[in-house]
Amino acid sequence: MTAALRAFRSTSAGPVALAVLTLLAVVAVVAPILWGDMATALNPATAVLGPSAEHWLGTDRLGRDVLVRTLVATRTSLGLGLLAAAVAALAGLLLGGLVAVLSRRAREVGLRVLDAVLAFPAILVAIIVTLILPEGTASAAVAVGVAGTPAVARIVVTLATAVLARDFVAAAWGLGVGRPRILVRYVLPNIADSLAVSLSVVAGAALVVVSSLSFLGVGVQPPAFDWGGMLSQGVMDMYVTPLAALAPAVMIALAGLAFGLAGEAMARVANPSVWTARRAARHPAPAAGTRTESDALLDVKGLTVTAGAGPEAPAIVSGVDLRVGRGDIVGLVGESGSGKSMTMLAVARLLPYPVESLADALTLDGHDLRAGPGERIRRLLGTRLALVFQNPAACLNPSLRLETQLTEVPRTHQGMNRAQARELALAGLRQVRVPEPERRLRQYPHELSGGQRQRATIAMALAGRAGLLLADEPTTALDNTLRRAVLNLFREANAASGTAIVLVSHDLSVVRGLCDRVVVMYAGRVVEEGPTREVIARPLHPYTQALVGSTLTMTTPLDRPLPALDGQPPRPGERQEGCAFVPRCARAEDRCAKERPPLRAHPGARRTACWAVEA
Amino acid sequence: MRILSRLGTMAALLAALLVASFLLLHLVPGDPAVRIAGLNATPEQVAAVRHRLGLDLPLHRQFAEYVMDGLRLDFGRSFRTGEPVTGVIGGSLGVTLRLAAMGITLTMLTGVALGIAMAALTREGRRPGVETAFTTGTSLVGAVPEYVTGAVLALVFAVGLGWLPVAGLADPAGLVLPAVAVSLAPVCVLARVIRVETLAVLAHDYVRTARAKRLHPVIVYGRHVLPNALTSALTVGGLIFAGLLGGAVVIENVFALPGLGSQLVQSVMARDYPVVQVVIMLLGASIVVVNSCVDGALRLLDPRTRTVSS
Ligand code: SF4
Repeated sequence: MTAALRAFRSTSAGPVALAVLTLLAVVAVVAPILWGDMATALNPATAVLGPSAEHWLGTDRLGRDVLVRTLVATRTSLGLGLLAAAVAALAGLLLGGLVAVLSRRAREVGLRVLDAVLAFPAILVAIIVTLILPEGTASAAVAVGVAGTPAVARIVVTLATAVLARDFVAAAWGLGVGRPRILVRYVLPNIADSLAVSLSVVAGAALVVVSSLSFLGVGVQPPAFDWGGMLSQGVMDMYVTPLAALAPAVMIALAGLAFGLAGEAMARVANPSVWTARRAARHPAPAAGTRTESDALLDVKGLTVTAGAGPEAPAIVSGVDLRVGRGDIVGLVGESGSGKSMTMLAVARLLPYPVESLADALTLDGHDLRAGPGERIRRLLGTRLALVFQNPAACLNPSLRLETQLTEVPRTHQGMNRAQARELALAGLRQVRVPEPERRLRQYPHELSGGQRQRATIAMALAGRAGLLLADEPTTALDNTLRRAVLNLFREANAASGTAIVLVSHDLSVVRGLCDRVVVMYAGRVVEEGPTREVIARPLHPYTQALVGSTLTMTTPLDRPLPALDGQPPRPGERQEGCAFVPRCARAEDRCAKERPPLRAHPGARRTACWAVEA
Repeated sequence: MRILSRLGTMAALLAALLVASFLLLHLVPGDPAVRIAGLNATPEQVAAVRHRLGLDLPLHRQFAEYVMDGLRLDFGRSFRTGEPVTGVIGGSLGVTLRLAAMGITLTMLTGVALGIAMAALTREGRRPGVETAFTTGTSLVGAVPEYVTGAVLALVFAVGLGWLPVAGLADPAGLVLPAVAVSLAPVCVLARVIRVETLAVLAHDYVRTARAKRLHPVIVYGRHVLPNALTSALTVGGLIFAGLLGGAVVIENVFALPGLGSQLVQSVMARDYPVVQVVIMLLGASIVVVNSCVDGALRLLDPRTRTVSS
């Protein structure tokens, strides 16, 4: 429904704005012809009347019909606004074009001057400029145009610089084409669209500023009148004839808005991607299940993660079981989009909106995590579960001292006071061998080296004596030295405090170095699992075989399709009835496409889902 | 080093302002002495005026005098009243700055709170209906010029309901409506900026980490999100202040406040150049100084630049 609303809005604002502008234009042409005399004729007999059938909006102090005057003033107001916009456009284009084709040094200077001028409100500049122009109605518009010139010039420079940097323009420079010619032939056609959008907005602003000038008495001079002038009269008589103030006020707002909206609508047509409708609807969280007894630290059964709610929502993860015992280190591997990160986020109850999860069982330390976000669950997740994301250093808030960030969990969830939490943080930093831990606590993240930041993040993750550490691609963004260091830290934490670790990675070599057990995922399902050593030495599933075959080199980029395999993994929503690996599998049989292979046990505590592997 | 270059820029801008306000008198079409003496003045009267104002000196001498007089806070006499300009302007600067300060406080508090609340409500594309209402509402209200807002506010709250005074400064509450009128549009602009910035902050891993720590949402937003969002509020703060000052100039005329704006408009209409020159200097200098302060504050607040310089 809301998507429809958005679509409606995105298609309707433009036409509505255009319709309003067209209407205003017609009124501007017709009204002075029809009612020109009526609008200026003084008639003391009809002064300060309220609204009536004869005078819909009443009359002003001098007995003139407010509605008629408002309509007649459209020509002056609109005309002056457009004149001002035209002056700003022309002068801005010239000035901006000039600055754009200057040498880089000179352009920098030009831009700084423009920015300095732009710091002054247009209305102020316009008021001053009226002083040096001869008195007259058009002067107000020219003054506003002059005041608007720097803004247009700034836009032109930005747009033109981007075009000038393109190859074909650079080639023209190289061929010795002159600057004016480059501007006219190459730059102008390429910025015309974006410029038109900006100019529509500028026209709206210009109309408002011209009206302000008239309102202040330095714009349109009597007997000529525009909305701004009417408004200033109306404000003076506000107690007597409020409508005389309201009518021009509404017109100024309406016209200014219509120009602005028309510009936005044009921008939307020019760049539709920004406005693509997002999906809506959020459904209730899955109902809390019964408390499950389990001796595993983490026990996940039948986890399904969908992009959105409802039966048609595409499944990202389907029916995943995951058991992690105390002190276990488990690797979760698969290509990008295999659902391994979503599995992890579902466990942490941190799925991004609108992703939803359902599970037959989801327990941490025997507590059911599916039961809403109560205080108990919050404390449990806060203390027993820690997360490290892809780029560990990005987990640190740049504007907070390390001490704040490292002591938050113990202070929030374990009721420690500041000194105790500080001691704990210091111990944590020492454990990960960050030098001078006392000093570090007082520092901000950027003051640490990259390696120290990684260590501090891990210290932070472990500060609450987490039982389970979920690490999502924690080494992907790191060079080899840091990678080894981080893996060592994990190993130490595991050995020292029995922290269990689930390491999500697309890199089998990392998993091989750290994990006791590995779970291989493909297209949202577990296709193989078992002791790391055996799985890598003798992979059963054809997909694992391809994976192992292709990770013989450490540097293989696994977020791209595997070199040993043709094709791509299916995307969520495209998954078929049978085995998802069929299109890429060399051993596929007829049965594979029809029936999905179940995860079956094999000797050596292994399991795999493939028809071609004998049970 | 950095601070020196900032001070240098500020000095250059102030100097440019000085030159611009000086040149104003000479850019006016026609002979300023004739304009001042009046069209039916005799040539002797015009010559006398020219000599009295030093307009018969070479331009650079005139500028030197202008600067020296300015340093002695002697800005000449108003053409209109013959009083010294300092007396004419008197308390106007205070009125305008008070209005602008109230406006900026109101804008910052409301804009930041609204922006963060909206970001929290609409993060990751939640509640698209609220988002649509917010963006539509703010773009509508943000597009209405402040004097129109002012007129409507005055109609409703002063004329209609009679809660607040319509005009003047006799009652301290007289600044309330003008301050609301100048802040309404900037609040909309700021709230939109803050919402987008906050959404960007919320998408950072350090916020995910803070949520993974299961901190209370108030702490997540107050400690981890707010400082980062405030930085962006401050970044646009200078621009908003300048806009508010422009708005104040206009709105003072709606509510008949004796500030620099009213002073400027009256002097422009009367072609009272000495007063105009001083008002330009004052308004321009406040903008330059505030912008420089914002720059400095950003440097101080951002831990990344703070320690680099120490
Ligand atoms: S079930 Fe069939 S298609 Fe799937 S991996 Fe095994 S052999 Fe290949």
